[in-house]
Amino acid sequence: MNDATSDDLERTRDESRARGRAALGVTGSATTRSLRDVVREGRGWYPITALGGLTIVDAFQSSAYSVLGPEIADTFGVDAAIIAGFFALRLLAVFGAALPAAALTQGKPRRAVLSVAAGALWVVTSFSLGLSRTAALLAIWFVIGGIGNGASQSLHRPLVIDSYPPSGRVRMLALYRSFDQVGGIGAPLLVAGLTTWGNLTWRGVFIVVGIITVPAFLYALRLRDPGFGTYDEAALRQSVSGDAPLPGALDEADVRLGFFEIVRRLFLIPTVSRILVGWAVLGMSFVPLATYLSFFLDDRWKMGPGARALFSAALPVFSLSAVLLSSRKGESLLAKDPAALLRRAAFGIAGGGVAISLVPYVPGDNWKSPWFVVMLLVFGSGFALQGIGFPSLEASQLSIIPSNMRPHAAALAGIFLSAVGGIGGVLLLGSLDRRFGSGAVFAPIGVLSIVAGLVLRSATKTINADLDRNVDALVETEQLKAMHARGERLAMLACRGIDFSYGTVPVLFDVDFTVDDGEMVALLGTNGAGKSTLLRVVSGLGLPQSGTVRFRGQDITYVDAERRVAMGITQIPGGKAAFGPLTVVENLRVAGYSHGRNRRAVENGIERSFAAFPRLAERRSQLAGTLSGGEQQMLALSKALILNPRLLVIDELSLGLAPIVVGELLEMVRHINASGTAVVLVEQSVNVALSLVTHAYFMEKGEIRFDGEASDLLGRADLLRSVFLEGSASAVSASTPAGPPS
Amino acid sequence: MLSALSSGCTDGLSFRQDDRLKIVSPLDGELVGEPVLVEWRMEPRPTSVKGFLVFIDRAPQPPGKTIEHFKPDNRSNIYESTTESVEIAAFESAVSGPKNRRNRHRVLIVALDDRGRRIGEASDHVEIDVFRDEL
Repeated sequence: MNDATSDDLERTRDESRARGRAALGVTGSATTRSLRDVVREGRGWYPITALGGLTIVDAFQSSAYSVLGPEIADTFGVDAAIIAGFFALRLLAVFGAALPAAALTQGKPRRAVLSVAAGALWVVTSFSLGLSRTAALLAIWFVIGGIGNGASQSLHRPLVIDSYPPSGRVRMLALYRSFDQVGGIGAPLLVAGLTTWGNLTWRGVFIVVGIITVPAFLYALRLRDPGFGTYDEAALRQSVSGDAPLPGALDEADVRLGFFEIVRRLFLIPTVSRILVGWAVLGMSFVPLATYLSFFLDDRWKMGPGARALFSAALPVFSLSAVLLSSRKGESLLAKDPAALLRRAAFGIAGGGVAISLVPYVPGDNWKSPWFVVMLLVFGSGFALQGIGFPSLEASQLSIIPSNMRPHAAALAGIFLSAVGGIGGVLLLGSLDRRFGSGAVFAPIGVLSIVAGLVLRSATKTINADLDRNVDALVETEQLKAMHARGERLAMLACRGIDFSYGTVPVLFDVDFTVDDGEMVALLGTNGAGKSTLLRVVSGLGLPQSGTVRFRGQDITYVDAERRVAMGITQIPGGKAAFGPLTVVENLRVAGYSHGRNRRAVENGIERSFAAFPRLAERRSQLAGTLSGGEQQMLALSKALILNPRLLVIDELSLGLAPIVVGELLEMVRHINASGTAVVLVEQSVNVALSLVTHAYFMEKGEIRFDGEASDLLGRADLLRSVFLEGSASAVSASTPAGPPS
Repeated sequence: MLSALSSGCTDGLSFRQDDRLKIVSPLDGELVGEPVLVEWRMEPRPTSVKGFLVFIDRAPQPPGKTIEHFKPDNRSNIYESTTESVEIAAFESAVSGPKNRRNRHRVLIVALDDRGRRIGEASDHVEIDVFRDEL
């Protein structure tokens, strides 16, 4: 057992967790700081106003696209369907750009420069749209503008979060949303004003929008990325270990998650996956609403385009007021209990949808009717409740995610809301509109909002645990650094608190498992105890629902299996470690792929293998599928020899093999271990395993039941009896190193 | 960009609405019965304007193009006139969409030069509801 024991980590876990939660803004206290203090401690008013300015001009652009479509069609002599196609292309660009923009921030905080670049894109596209001579050119600029829009979706909010301390997170996100609302109010008024009173064509409108975008872009030029987690994660790191690197550890860049690894990891966070479902359901109701609202106001309330624009501009006034009035309360909820903030989001979103669904039941058939004001108030109250819900939801979601993954999470939220939900909503509400008229689309909005609220509410059960997992992973790294600074030795492989499920079937429960550098350990247990599953987690073939896997000091929990091979982890899966249709040599060359183009290293490894196993050399051109079981295992071990791993994980080496073959293989395992490779040996055969190791683990029903000296395990008949025959323990004690398998 | 705006690349592009061409009857949003007399005015009327095309529920040809832009079998719901009015005997109801919008029609007009080409980007349109028994 290594010096950095589980007990050491356990002892300080609660204390560290509390400190970590506080660093992430969850202090446990409802007390909030003044916004002025928050801004002063953060980067001042500049980042929020610069991003807000960009958001407003983004709203202007989007509004111009949607309002002026018919006029654009008339100019170019194209059908409305073509313009609808342009919108669809633009939407594709928005969704398609959001995640790549997030990917561009991986490893390097480029969110500010990308946000400014998106602003520059809007300047160019606004003017270019106004000057487009052909519909094809217009389509191209539509798409390019959409790319900027998609980028801002994934970058702005994470940038806001990292520009200010977590004690002001909800309020700063609410403030950012307020700018969006201002854009929502101003955009239709601007477009209506420019066309009605300014007498401009759609070209003129885009030129004016471009002119307005220039100062917003210039103002944003001084935006600088504050770095990931500057006010939360980085501060926590600094407080624990002074941000010193861990000597002997893998380089952080080697274990930094790639794009797909990040996205996969986000989906593995229960709260995030539930919230994404919530966004999708929400999108089904609210994305198509903007379209059907116009028809409803026209059909039922006899409102012309100008009046509809004014109505659309009035609605964000309600949500803007609610955002500004309620954000401080939201802040105290986040600080005290993130689940309470999420509950509030669920209530706001469900309540807002229900209020909006009541709108068709307001009497009146003309906007001059006194009932029109009632309708506006009902609609407005729905928007106000949503105004409370959305910033709460955004803050809840982004607060439980590692800072470098927030752009991806923000992008996914936008995609689920607009793409997944929006498309589903158009299909659902569109059929209702066609069949029953525009008033009929409101009832499902209420139902869908309630469903979204319930989904979000279900996430309140998981959000605190997910926050703690994020905190634990963060704190653990820093604790390891601190322990190393105290002169304590660190394990080469450390699995902590691993929970794993196959679908909904849980298999591993809070498993702790460590292996020292150069050590050989045995992992024993019954069939179905979870041994092979734990190995899959170690080698990256399985990703845990919670817990961490650390290799050479770095967190590799969500790193892809193929990258782990390059890091030095090799697994020999039980009984299926050779490719049957390939020859022996081909199998070994395939194994050498992780050496890249270094053919010499591969060929040397093959020669070493043949020296170790002459029988393989004799069968070098024979198909692996025709080898005996023992020869196939020799081939599997040879692959390990070629890769020369730091950690070799062997699953069921001796299963079904003759004793003499087992002895030969075990001798090679000893040899590999003696050359410095740590080995984890999973075996059903207790005598085989314990003849090799001094440190053993015993698993039962997904839990580690024993962790200690191999000789002590022999005295635990209660454990061994549950697996093997009663006599196994005594047989084991008498076994020889190359003894027969049980 | 500003230089582009000030240079010749804006030639032929309309940034301000051209109010000279205006449909005067029926009015936007009006409920009318068939046949419908569509009337318009172009004041002042440039000497280059020799005729007009009226489009019902369809897009016009691009600027500078003639009616030949459309294939001969795709010229329904297009009416040509050298005067400032045209009578539409019957409108086709939409076969899909909400019932209360199936008899809503978009009437659009563009001006033509002596060779039948659309002049500039200017156009005017109204949306009207055509009376039907089921309305």
